[in-house]
Amino acid sequence: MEDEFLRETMGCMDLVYNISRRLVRSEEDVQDLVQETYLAAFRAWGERRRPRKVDPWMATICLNLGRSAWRRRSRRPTELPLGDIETMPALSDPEGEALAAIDRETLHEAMWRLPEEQRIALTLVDLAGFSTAETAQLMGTPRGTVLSRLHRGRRALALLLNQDVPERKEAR
Amino acid sequence: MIVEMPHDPEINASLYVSGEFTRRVRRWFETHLLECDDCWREVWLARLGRRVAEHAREGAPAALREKVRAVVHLSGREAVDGPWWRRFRRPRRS
Repeated sequence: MEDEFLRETMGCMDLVYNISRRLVRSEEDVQDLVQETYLAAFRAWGERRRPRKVDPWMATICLNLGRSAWRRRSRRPTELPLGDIETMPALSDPEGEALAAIDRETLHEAMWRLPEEQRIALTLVDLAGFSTAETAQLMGTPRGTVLSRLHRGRRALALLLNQDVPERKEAR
Repeated sequence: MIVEMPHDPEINASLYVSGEFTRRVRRWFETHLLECDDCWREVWLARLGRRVAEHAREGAPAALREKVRAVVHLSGREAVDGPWWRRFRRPRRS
């Protein structure tokens, strides 16, 4: 049974890891949360509670665990105003170079400074690849709320790059 | 062209950048973008923000994968044999 479970679920490891990284702060807690997610899923699997789609099932287990017990145990993240995020200098190549200049830790920190609900919406849609309808279901919120949170999160991250919005004429 | 969506730059930008408009609505919205500064700006920011978010995607460490495999195998074994310490208990005297 373990082999079957692992064969079906190990493909979700990156997904579970990325969600965990946005739910708990320290790497140790992230690893614990990933393991707890797999163990909870394995127990359910053993009780013949098997999902039709594995990805959203694993994401839901991870979200539920992360948002309840683990969040209480971990130190609550400090959500700083977005103005405090250090912006990168504008570069001649608009996006690619600016993106390349941001190291992973800066980006990780920037995501942690977003309000939790925006961070989770961004993670589920842009990192995990769920649709906004699926994300709404996973988060237990209306789709319109997810769309707003998603947009605000994206806008906040975009401002990190400190790029000027080009004139419409230039892009036509 | 008939306007298909309410004018909400945030929601529309979010749907457009997520690729969730139908083909017909997308065509309408792209025409609208050429005329509307607010929607243009929100789409530009949303697209850039999505790229930044995607840039944050990470692969799980190989060691963690192994740890999870081990933990699941151990848990499966315990479900069959009982906890590991029970296997080392002395047999009771009759």
